[in-house]
Order: sequence, then C-alpha cells, then structure tokens
Amino acid sequence: MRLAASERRRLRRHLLVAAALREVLAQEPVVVGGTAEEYHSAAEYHETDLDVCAPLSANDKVLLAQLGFARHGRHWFHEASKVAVEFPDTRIDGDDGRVERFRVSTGTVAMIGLDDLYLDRLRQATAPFHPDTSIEFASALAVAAACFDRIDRRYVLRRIGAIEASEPDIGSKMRALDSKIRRRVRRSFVRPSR
Amino acid sequence: MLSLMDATQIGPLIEALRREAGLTQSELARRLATTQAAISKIETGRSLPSLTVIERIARAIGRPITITLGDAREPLTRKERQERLRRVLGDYRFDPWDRNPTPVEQESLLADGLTRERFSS
Repeated sequence: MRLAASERRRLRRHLLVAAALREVLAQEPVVVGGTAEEYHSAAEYHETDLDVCAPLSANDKVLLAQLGFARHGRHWFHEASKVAVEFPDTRIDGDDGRVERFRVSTGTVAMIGLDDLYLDRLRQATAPFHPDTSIEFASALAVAAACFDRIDRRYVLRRIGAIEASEPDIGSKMRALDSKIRRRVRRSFVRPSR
Repeated sequence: MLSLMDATQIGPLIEALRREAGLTQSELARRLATTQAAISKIETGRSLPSLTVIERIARAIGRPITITLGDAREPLTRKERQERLRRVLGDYRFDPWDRNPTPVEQESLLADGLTRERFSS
C-alpha cells in the first residue's frame, strides 16, 4: 500500500491497490468497472473509485482496517493513497476462466476479461432513459472501439441470448445496443482518418 | 493484411477493403459475376464467404487478403487504442463529475487534480 500511496498515475495506483488486496483477502478480488474499462480500452475514463468483486468476510474487514482503509458508506477509503474501493458484488457476472492476471510491481492483479467487461458496459447502457447520449453508452462504445477485433463475438452473442431468455427486456436492449455500437465503430473505421 | 480471430468479423473487413479500393458493392459484384445483394450479405455477416470466394474478392479489389485463423487477439498498444477512440468518440470526454461521486470519490478526484472546473470547459 506504500507503493500505491506514492504512485502518481491514477490507473496504476488503483492497480497497485488491487494487487495489495489480492494479497490479503481470503478470496481473489477481481477488478471490474471503470478501472477495468480504462485498462482495457485506454480511454481516459477517470474512474472515481476502484470496483472489485470479492466476498468480504469479517476477518477481511479487520485486515482492510489494518491496511488503513476506513468505511465510508459503500466505500472503503484509503486515506494515504486516496483510493476509494467498492465491493459491488461477491463475484463477477461472467466467466471466471476469462479473468486476466498480470503483474504490477511485485503483485498480481486479477482483471475481468474483456468480453465480460463489454457485456457489463452494454447492460449498464440499457438503464438510461436516453441510452444513445449516456455515459454508459459512451463507455460501451469506447470498449468496442478500442478492442473491436479482440472481443469474442460468439461468446458475447451467446451471453446476450442467455440474458434474453431470463430477462427479455434487458437482453433485447443489449442486442440492439450491441448492433448500434458495432455499426458505429465499423463506420468510423471505414471512414478515412482525419 | 486481414487478421481476424472470429470468422464473423470478415464481413466488415471486406467492406473496409472494398471501400479503400473505391468500389461500390455493385461494382464488386459485377467483377465477381454475382449480385449486389450477395456482397451485402457477406459484408453484414449474414453470409460467410468460402476461401475460394475470399480469394476472388482479393483479386477483384486488386490486393491480397491474408487471413489469420485462431486466436489473433493481440492487444493494440495504448496509442493505437487511443487513436481508435478518437476516430469513434471524436471529442467526447468522460466527466467523472457526471457520475455523482460520493464525498470520498470527490476527495480522490481532487487529489489528482481532476476538478469539476477541469471538465466544465
């Protein structure tokens, strides 16, 4: 955590905190949300917090306090590094086998896979009343644009199909947004660069 | 060069190469002795062309198409990804203050100089 506190780059600081959490928590925390978006897409998303999925036991909470985290509403705030950590869920919504692991300094970060991040951004984009102009839509668009040829289409379409079966309204919105995003990305790539 | 990890991505790439060659779908169709509708189906992913057809398309547009099958999901560099973002998102900027940050998130943003004013211009 000392390394994180002295790190000036915001994304790297968040990754260092994630690596530190992985060392102490009973179950591996997986980075999701804005930090994952900035990592995968290289967009200047300016995440406000560090979202990680992991179950938090009573012992984990004691360890967090010992590391210097204090509870503030839904966040655990680390004063020295100014990083706010949220645990939105106990596990990722997706395939654990697609989680990416990489070294940061002396630690390891577990990051939600690109395909599941894109699906998460699509799902988030179904919520706003005017989806096309929302931050959530821009997020999904950013991930698709930066990683267009790395996204596993078959997996994405299979997951959307499964969501359509259990949550028809959300699933069909995700499918429509996915089509719209892909069309827009393709159009932009085909157009000559300015 | 055409590099793909998923066969469904071949359509958009053929479309890109056709446009670069300055051909309409109808013109390409004529060169291949097929219909504009058939080209449209390939480009929109509704029809997957055989290797023979891909070869004929390459000849018709006057440049080779190299296909990499399997996992070719090598990540682009940060700069390459940002260039793509610029092309797709244009001048759009993510404003963290639009996300109604909590007090500790605000403190975190301000510590990095990500003030509200910086995004309001």
